[in-house]
Amino acid sequence: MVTIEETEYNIRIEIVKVRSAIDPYSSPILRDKLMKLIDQEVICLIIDLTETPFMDSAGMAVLVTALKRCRQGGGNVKLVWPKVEAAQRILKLTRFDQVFDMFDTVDAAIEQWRKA
Amino acid sequence: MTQFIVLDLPASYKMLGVLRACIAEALSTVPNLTDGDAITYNVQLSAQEIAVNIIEHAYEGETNDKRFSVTVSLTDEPRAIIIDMRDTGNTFDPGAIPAPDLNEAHEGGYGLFIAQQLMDKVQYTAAADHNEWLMEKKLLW
Repeated sequence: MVTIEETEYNIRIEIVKVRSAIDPYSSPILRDKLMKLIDQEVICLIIDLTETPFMDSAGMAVLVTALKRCRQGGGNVKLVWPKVEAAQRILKLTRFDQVFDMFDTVDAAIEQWRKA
Repeated sequence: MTQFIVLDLPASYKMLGVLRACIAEALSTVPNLTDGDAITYNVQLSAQEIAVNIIEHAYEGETNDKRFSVTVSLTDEPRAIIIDMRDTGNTFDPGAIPAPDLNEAHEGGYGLFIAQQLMDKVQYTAAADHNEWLMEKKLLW
């Protein structure tokens, strides 16, 4: 007799790509988008900052809010580094790169979830 | 020689793009600026963080009835960009704002820290009839 046990895990991962500056004028739009996803029980988020030209502390606050809510639900927020080097330096200066899981590409972020 | 650009902006987040564009244009006139992209980004970000501070704390939120001025200057000796912002709102106590604990991520409290880290000088003065934020970044070539 052969006993076969099969377990399937499906994780819903949402990728949010930000192509414009995130500041107090635009950040409410990003916040609403992320909070709607989390309200729909999406707790695995990849925020792709590759093409984000500018982000200030209002934008960073949105990232932190999403991170806290996702982690409360057992998920996480992974960030993809911005292409703009000065923006990368700000994430390092504020040590966001220590708080968030950072990746060079969206594929690398997905792969880490696949391995987990 | 000092070159000036003067902006008179309503206390509105919508105007932050104008502030950033103005700083980028001013710095684009500096010949042979070393690390120009990073300098421009850092000065834009610092100025924006202080402008947001003015809107949120001095004026307690966006309002088209209140305005603040921004003077952008380029000086030769020392070679620097100077941003002078003035508002007529509530006074501010920079000493009352602790530096953020960088071991954790927070939803606020980074604005002044970022400006202080990126600029060579960030000085606040509460004058009799206005508040003044003076920021300076030395330029290399």
